[in-house]
Amino acid sequence: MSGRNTAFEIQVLKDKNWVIQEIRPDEAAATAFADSLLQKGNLTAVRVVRTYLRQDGSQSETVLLEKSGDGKVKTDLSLTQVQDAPVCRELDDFYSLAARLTVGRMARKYLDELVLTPTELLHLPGELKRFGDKDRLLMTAVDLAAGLQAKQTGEESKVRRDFLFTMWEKIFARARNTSGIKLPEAKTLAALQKLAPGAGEERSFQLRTLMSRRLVEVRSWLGKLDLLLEWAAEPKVGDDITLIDGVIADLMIPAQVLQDVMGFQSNLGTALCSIADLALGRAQAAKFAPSCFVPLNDLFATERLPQARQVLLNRVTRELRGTNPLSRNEPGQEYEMFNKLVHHMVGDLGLLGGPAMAEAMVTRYGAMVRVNGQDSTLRAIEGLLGVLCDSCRRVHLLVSLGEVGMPAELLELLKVQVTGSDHINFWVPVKVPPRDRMVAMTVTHGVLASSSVPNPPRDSLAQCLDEVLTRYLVDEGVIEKIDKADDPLAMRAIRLIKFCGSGVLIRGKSLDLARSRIIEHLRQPQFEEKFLASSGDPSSGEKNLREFHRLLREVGFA
Amino acid sequence: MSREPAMVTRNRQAAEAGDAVAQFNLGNMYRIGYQLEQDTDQAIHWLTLAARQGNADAIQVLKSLAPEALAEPDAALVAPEGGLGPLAPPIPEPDPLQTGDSPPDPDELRPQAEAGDPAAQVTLGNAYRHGWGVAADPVLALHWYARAAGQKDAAGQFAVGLMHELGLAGEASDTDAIAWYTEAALQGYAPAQFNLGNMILAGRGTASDPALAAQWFERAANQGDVSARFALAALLEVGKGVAQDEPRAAELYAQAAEAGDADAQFNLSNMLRQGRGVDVDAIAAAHFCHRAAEQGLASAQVNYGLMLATCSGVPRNEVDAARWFRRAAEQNDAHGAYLLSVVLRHGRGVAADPAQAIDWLRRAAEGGHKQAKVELAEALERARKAEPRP
Repeated sequence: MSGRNTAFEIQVLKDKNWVIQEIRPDEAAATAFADSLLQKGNLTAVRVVRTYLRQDGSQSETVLLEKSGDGKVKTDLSLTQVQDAPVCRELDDFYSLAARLTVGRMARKYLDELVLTPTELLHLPGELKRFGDKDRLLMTAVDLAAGLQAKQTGEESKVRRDFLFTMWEKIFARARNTSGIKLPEAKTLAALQKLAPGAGEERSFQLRTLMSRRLVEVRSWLGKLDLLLEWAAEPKVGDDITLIDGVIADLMIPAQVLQDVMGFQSNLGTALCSIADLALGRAQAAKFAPSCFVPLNDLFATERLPQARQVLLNRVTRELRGTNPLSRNEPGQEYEMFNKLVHHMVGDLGLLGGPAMAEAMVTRYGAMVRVNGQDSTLRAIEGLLGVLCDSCRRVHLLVSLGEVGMPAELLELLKVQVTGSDHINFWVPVKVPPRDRMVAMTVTHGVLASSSVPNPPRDSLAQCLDEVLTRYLVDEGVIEKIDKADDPLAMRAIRLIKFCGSGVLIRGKSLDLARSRIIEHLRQPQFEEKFLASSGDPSSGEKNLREFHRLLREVGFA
Repeated sequence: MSREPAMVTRNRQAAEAGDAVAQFNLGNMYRIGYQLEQDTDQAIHWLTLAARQGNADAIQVLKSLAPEALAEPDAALVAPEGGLGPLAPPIPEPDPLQTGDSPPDPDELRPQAEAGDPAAQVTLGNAYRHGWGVAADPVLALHWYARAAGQKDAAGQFAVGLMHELGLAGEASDTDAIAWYTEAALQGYAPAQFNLGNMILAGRGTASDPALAAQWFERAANQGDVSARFALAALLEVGKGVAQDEPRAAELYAQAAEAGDADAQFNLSNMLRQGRGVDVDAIAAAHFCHRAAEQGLASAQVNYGLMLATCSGVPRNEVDAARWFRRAAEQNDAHGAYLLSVVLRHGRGVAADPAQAIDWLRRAAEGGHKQAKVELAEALERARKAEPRP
């Protein structure tokens, strides 16, 4: 097919990227040119891609031909040293996100070379065989994983290695068993779903295999992502979005894909802020961001990609814990970039990324200000607390750091922080709207009260927040502003009860303060008559009263 | 006991003093057992210290070490039981993100620059100016900037102006600098507008004209130039060249402060503390002052120390206060030196040390601090009177 809207691109593989070398109007000329390029040598691979410009302006691409060069450029497929490998005990564990993350990081060069996700590798017998046959990759991978896992389980490395080889055989056999199903013509998810009826893990495995077979046909990362996003947008995607999430999570592991998805990022600090924003679905498309960015961001915003979110936050954590500067070109801005990033990750409502992120921030801060010595962790934490702009954030950080155990120094820092912040201005900046300030206090109280901080002093510390919020309600006359004496009683009562039920108040003194005002209203003689009279017409009065009673029950008065 | 080879001693001394290259050398010697006994723990210790300072070689070597070795705790840094212990070293990321601030490759740029691409010419000029991937050569830098400027490229014109202003490739010339900045500024190039405003304000290469300077700052500030926002805010704060407008000054300072400008953070902190142009907010004032102090601004370090000492917007912490006074004093800030002498004299946040207190008081006086001069004179007089008469 050729025509005004069709072109044939001849692309060559350079540093893992396909680069357009030439564009020709017809296929024969393009193929001949591609062959001539290969014959000249020095090329890893060349391909011919037909591009078709649709009437709506969108473009489709089809790879017509792909040929490898003479291999003069030897690609390094060696494994990457990883720091940890989760312990897998059952067959299903090998398909979990943690396991795929490890495979994705360990076999990064190999997977990049083949443009293969860990999910595809684990589900396709051909790919499993290819990996097993490639040099000593499988042996080395098993050795590396077994060594790391044996440290956690206390087993002999050899025992662990034997177990991993046994499981490899099982993974291989399972993949082979499902390889006989013929793929349908249609490339939709719905078509694949029809071939995987039933329910449960076996059905999920089948569908993942079918998805992998479809995905492996697509030879670019963004192409795979586009296909996954198309599937996610299908009306009958249902719970299978979880499977799509899993593969998108795989795609988010390599730095290259993230770079392509995020577009131009001026420095590492900015990039990490943008990645965190994407994980929450509130990122803005940067310069040169691909078209898939917006639908991907939308999926994150609707909380449909929890696994991919975890991978993104894992990336932020690792980069933060790493050695690359956040602001390479302007070293003087390193602290400011760190400050920005930290306030991005720790908000008044919580800390993104959990204890690992908190620890990474401490490590980065300590390395940045060069603390050394026996008490360097404590001093780094103290310094980091000073970076944060309010006590809500500081408490989130300390609670998160103490999640896996709270040493005495950390507990002392928490006590000082909480008891020393006796006014709401220490907890949430003045510029924050009143409602958000109350929400921040309440959320922080909840996090502290349900934390693994030992009790005592946990409850008494949580109570301090309640007292600060109560004082705020009194000092600022918050309840008086809601319960304006000039307003009709019905309006005042409903507003008050809604305030109590809105979750902005801590269940304790502050909520009791607002509830006591409602009780005052309820105790006045002939409350209901006055309520109805203040509502205007009788029908709406009855309706308002019913609503009021419903809200009363909801807030726990009944 | 045999003596340590001189090479090892030299590297050890420099490494202990914080020299990253020496730390790398020493770590590597321990790693391969060169000139001293092989010791993986010591190797990791020194390599990690070098890596923390960004030493690329150390990062590379650490990457190549087996994870088992990395996981071993440093013998010298074993955590006390149950405590927080020493800080975990950073772990280099094997598959790091590449971002826009990766240094350009001059070899890739040169053909484009030769072909006349002005953006490539400016970037290649930057590579020669900063020594990115090539030996630094300001004359070649100017050559490439001038080729871009010759094509009316604003970034090229600005860069040529900068070379003339700073005299980086010959004698400095304010007149030439202002001419090139004007060319670029008229094309709407914000950094040139800011630099032009600065020269006009200072009366360099032209008569001083704060009103005209403010106009250029305004144009650059409207394009988001952080330095211009600060400069314009500074004029608005005192009403120089423009009508005094403290609320707008505070707003511009806030914008520049959020973008990381230390001077803007410091000035905003002062306005928040004094309630000028904004409502008084001691906590926000302390926050911005701290950010400026962390960036090394001595006056902010002094103010933040005072905030800690007087419990203004932050809980009282005399130990930290003394630490900030010291940081300012070590930057030759006379007020910082004076305050450090005060806390040393009274033992506030530090152990009392009258001798050191006098030493810092003397430095403050030498730096022109009036109160320090008075107190130093009094102290010397007291000492003179206390001396036994012959």
